Amino acid sequence: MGVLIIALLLLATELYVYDLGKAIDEGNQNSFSDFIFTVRLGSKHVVVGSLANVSQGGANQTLGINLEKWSSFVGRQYKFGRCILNSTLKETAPYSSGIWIFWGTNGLGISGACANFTLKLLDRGVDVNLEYTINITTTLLIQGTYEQMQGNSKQVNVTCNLLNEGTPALAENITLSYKDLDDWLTPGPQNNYTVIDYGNGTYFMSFAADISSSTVEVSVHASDQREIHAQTNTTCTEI
Amino acid sequence: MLEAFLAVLVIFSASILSIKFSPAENFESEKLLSTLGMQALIELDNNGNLGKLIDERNWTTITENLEVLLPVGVSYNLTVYDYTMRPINDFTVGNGLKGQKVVSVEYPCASQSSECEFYLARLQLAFAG
Repeated sequence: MGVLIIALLLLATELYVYDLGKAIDEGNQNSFSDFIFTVRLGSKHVVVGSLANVSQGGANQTLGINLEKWSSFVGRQYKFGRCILNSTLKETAPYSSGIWIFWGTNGLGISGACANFTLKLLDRGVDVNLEYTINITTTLLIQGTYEQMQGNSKQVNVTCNLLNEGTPALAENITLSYKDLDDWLTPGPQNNYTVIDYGNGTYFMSFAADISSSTVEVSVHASDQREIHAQTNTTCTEI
Repeated sequence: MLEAFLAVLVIFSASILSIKFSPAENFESEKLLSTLGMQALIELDNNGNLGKLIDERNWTTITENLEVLLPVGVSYNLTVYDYTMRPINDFTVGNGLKGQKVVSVEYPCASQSSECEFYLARLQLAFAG
């Protein structure tokens, strides 16, 4: 009888320990996925912030420096084992040190950053290897037309489209300037300058000005809501 | 005979007590709290808001956001550390942590600003009452 009781007691204890172990495993599983998600999200923020910095005149090396700092920070925060985050900056053309800045004179302006990541989590009985790419691009597209009025006076219309990763995005600020002789001028109220924000990343700007040259060149500078700057020039077509 | 009967009684009572106060059940509530906390922080940081608010040291808005994101009945306390693990919030972010079991979740956060700062947000949670 005594032996039976002891056997039952042992069995119950084993079952209990097994059940508890299962629960702890489930908990760790949640921690892994949460940690991986936060690291990916943080990596994206680092790429966005670095691109914002570079597009505002910062050094191209900013992205690499920030990512190294992020890897070191993340590596110290993982409590369940070892975390190794490595990043490789895209170097294939048109990227250099993970950065692509193209501010053309054909109505297209691009500020982009791209990096590949490998994330390793080493824990008791767990070996997670994950690869992901973060590609951030702010694109500015402009098209301009003008109508010749009396004398040198011209009515100029410019349509701008701002895109984040290929989808329409709102601008934090957007400025237009036009070229008269060798000077870049900003239209103001005296030029009947108006901006229509369609709320979908499309902006329509119009103004009237005396422009001596036969061609009308306009330049648009814009920052998206992530503080990434892009700019481009174009020559307006006469209508 | 009496001895065996008493032994069975003791083991039976112990089993019932262990089921009632099972740590696995406690673990479930810890897991729930930890998930709620992590989801709130992820939601807040999804478009870079958390990092931006920390950059601005805007503890009031962080508190307001967490009040909305965490369910009623959850008390919390948030401490934010900088890259060198120095606490930076001089303002208490929370609604007064109260509860028997406190769970802590840690969220590494990168700010999306051009300065690109790194923070660790430590959120302590408990079911109030």
